[in-house]
Amino acid sequence: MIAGPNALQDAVLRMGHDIVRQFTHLPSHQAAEEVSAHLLKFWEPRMRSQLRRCVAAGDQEVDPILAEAVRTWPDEDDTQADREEPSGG
Amino acid sequence: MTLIVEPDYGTPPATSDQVVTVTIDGRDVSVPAGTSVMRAAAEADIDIPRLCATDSLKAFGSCRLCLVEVDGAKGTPASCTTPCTDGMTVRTQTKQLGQLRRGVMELYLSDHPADCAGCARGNCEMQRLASTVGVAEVRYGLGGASHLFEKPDTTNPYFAYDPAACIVCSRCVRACDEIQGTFALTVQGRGFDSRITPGGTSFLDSECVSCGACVQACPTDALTEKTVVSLGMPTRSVLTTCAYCGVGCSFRAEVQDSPDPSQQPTVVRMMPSKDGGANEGHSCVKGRFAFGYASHPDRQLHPMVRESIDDPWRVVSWEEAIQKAAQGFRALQREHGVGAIGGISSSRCTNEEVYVVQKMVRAAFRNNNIDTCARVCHSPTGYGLGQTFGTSAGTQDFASVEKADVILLIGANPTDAHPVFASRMKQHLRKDGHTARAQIIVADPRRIDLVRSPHVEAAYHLPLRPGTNVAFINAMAHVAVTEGLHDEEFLRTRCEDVDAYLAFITRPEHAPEAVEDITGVPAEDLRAAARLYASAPNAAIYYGLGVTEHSQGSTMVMGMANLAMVTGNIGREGVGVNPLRGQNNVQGSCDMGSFPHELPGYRHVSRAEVRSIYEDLWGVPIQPEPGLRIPNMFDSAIGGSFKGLYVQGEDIAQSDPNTRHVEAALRAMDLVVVQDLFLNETARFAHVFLPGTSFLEKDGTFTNAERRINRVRPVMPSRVGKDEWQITCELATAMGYAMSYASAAEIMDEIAATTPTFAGVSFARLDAEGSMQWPVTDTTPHGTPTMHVGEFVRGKGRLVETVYVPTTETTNRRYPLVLTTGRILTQYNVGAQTRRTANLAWHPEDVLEIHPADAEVRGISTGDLVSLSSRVGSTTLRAVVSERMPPGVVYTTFHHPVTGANVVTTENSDWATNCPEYKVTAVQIEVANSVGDEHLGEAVLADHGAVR
Repeated sequence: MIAGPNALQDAVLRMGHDIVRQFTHLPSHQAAEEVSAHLLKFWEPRMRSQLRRCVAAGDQEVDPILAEAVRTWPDEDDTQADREEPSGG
Repeated sequence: MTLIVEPDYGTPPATSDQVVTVTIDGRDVSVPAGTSVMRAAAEADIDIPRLCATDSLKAFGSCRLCLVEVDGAKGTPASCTTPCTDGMTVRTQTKQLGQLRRGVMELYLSDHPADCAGCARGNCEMQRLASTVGVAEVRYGLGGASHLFEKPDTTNPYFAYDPAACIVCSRCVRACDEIQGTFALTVQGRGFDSRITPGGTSFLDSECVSCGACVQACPTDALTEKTVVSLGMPTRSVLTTCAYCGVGCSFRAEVQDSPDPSQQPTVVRMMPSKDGGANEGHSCVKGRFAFGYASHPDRQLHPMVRESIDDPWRVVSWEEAIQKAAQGFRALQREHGVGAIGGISSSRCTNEEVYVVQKMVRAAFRNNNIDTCARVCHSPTGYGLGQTFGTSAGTQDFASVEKADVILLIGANPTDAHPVFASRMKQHLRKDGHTARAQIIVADPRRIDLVRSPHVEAAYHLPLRPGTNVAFINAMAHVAVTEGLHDEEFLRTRCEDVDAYLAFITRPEHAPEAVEDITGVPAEDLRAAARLYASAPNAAIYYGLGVTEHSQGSTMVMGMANLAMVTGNIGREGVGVNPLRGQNNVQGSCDMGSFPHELPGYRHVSRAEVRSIYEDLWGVPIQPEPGLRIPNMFDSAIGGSFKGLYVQGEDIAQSDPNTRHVEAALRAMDLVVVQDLFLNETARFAHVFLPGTSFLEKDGTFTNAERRINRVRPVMPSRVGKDEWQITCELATAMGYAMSYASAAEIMDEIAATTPTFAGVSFARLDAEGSMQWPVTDTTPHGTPTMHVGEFVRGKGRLVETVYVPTTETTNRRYPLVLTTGRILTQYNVGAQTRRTANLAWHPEDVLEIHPADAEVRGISTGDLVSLSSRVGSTTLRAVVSERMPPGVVYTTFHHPVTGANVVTTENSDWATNCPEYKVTAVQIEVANSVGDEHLGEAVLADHGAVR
């Protein structure tokens, strides 16, 4: 879908929710952990920042698991640790 | 017959462990039992005359030239069909044998053109043999019946068949049968009337797939390349690697050098090399014949620039073009930040060329915004196999298929996309006597050739609905475990998370009966197929983009890895999980760190100890955070934060989904630099064009789908005056990061020094070994054909709970059909190469395949122009009504930009990698009156504020 300045926001929400859907079979906290780790491992910082802004703005469209995942991030992204997922991937 | 005559032992080798010793012309020769006398003699450097025998084909015994005398045997048996027995004594040269051979040769020559000097082939086996056997004259004269005036078949664009020169040795027929597996040729008639025919029609109209095996096998000039006729015989040969698909066939490029040194050499033909590790002397129409694009008039040879994409191009010097690109990129970074620019490396360029592109992005651009076309094809393979096995590459070599008892082929059509490998697979599937050597299960919505073709029939065709792969593979594993067919010992000793996975997969929702309505596959067929796979001594999975290009592509790859581990089918020959990678160097591009989250060797950018290797060598800090993937670049461009892009050898405006979105993104950028052979669709949005080099001009390596690193050697100098890696280095240098190499070999040396899996690789070693499959290390100095022997790269294999999540792309009343896309044999990817060759004779346009029932309700017949529309766009193309398709599913290819199949594909993608969901698009098909008479998609209507 072509859009203007909201293109990145629309995209990160769509992709973020695609990721959430893969983990909804898990308890919500564990799902949030997996989603968070995946985003930190594979998403470029501006995409994560965009997602962070949506959560901070209380965007109703943000899935609760996605929001919980984002809220686990420190104020400054931790760039020191190796990016391993909780499940060992 | 090649310019460089490769050794030909007459008949294939025997494989027995038992050894026998025979005496041939007084010389003792020891060979495996079952070896023909002809081959034993050849191995002792005794050349027995022959015409119908060649070591790539089974012995036939028809030409009667290879006769020998054997003590204790009656008559003079054919040496090609006579197996050696211990103690046998053979004579190959006696007075009687000489008379017999001369007589046979005279008969052949009596019905063969006598004008040897005018023969295009120039190295005819007939001519050589006539001299060898001592035929001085043909006593039969020229007045009798002959075939000398029969009309040649010149319909095939690449080769001609001249029956006048044909001796009906049937090598061509057998090559088509035994090597290619198409069975397009036959001998029609008997005795003197015997003639070769491609099924009673012309070559072009027949089932011939133009692989060239018949031309290769022909001992006369009955079957000859048209280029040899028009240009004459080549004078030089260079061993190199094909630049088309992921099989990576080795070829000898046979060349004529111009007497004028300022003129480029001319490639006369490409001859498949018998020593090619991937192809062993076979080829397909693309690699064998479709090399003309390299010298097509469309080829751009000079740098060009323009201020706006609406301006005409202006030819400039290299200096001006590179400075414009460099200064433009730096200005964008100053204004919009370091992350405002990025690069896309090519899956068609060499390992060395893509390595320097990712180095330029990381060291000169100072970000990780580097991606490659694997994003849109096998990135889920990278994720899925990385998660489960610890490394993102196939587990076997191609030869492994010959040890498989059961093959599970999912979402792949190798007869079209990997034809040389498909031929090898079909050889193994065909019956040997009354028993098939292996069985195949085909999981594909379409009835592809491997479901049923000459002498090959799938044990099961499971036409699963697009988008339901994970439900399917879970059901397969469910059957294996619940019926006790799993390998408990393998699981307990070699895998982790076993109990959790077994509890997951045995749940009733994974049973074939429970998923039947989801997948569309009858439960009893799925159960039977699962039992066949799980019970086989050796079962192998082969898969393609029908697995990866889905919203759960990565999950499906992990599901297949689960199934292989559950049944113990990892770590030896004949088994494994085998991704059929599409392009000649997509594997290599990934290996070389062309992903935004990984440095070369698949090491995450967050790993400080890996970054330090490159920081120490390159002298700059490496970003520890992932960069943008290609789809993210588009979204960021439209969002305003991504402003400049360097594109090497990719045509994202044609190959990537949702064309309107891609074009909008490219328009939104301030600087697009395209480095390519042609002005492609992406170049319409470019400001700087840097001409690239074809594979004939490259010096480097490609890595094929079996991790085989092959040499690419320059057949001619660069037509643009530089190597592609030099262009990239100059761009980086102009941006302030000095980068240079003395040669491509030096680049590979740097790769080897920094990437553990390439540690033992160098041009010198590749020249010595021919090719090597990585990892090449101290413990595996000659390479690694089979991976995960003993233990997985990550230690224990990881079993992942692969929950089926349906795609959000669903059909409805407006868009009731599902579109899936793929490839066809004679065209390649976006068609940039093959559309500029005579392959257009077979596929001049993309067509839409539709099931008869779906066609009938819409009033569509074959040949009708139809409108294909989805919620994002529409296009028109011609329909072909085909029972290969299941009801509800339609299929097209993406080789022709004028069709623009990706106008209709959506932004949906694999959750883990953003690999586009090309295989599932909800569409509607309607009869169209003309091109452009298409119904606008919802997205277009919304953009225009229209309501429908």
